[in-house]
Amino acid sequence: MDRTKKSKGTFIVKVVDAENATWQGTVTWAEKNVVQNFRSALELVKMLDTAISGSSEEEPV
Amino acid sequence: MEKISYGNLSVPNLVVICVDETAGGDRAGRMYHCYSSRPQTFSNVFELIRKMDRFFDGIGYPQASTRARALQNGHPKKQENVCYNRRLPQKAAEPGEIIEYRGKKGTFIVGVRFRQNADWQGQVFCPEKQRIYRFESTLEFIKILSAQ
Repeated sequence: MDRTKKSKGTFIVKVVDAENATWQGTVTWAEKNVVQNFRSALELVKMLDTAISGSSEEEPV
Repeated sequence: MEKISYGNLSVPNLVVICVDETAGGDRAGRMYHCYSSRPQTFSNVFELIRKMDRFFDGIGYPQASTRARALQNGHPKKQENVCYNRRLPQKAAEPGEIIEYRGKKGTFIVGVRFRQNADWQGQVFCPEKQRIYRFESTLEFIKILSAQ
């Protein structure tokens, strides 16, 4: 891992269940002390992506 | 797993994934759908999933059963409702055309049927293997892509 790159964010992920063939749990954004529950791995990935990019703008189809 | 021909081609959200590179254990390639004549490229599986999810939101199919959550400070911004009764965009290609595209390392014809439990459910057809794989979540979808 390249440690010289600027850090984009630190997230603490706690998986508490694994129903519907996916993960459920809690993610904490360490720098901003924000906590949110996620209902699937897809939702977790989207949350992290939106947090890092700082935007939830949709691309045109 | 079962052996059959192409699945339902009439679904509006048919996506053809052409994997061209598998370097470093990840997948890179092109993604085709009927509403664009040009492919969308992806350099890893998560980029592919994000682009597919935005595509489904864009055409409103399949309808998401949950509203997306976000990590944010203070009061959450008012979320825009995805409008599901708007018209589909103009088709730029026919399903019969896009299923002919092939990736150098593999091809996946994906039909996501539902978006329940904040995730995807559907099936993947691999033309090279003539097999259909069903998935109940994006985790299972990633496993199918990674196993080829």
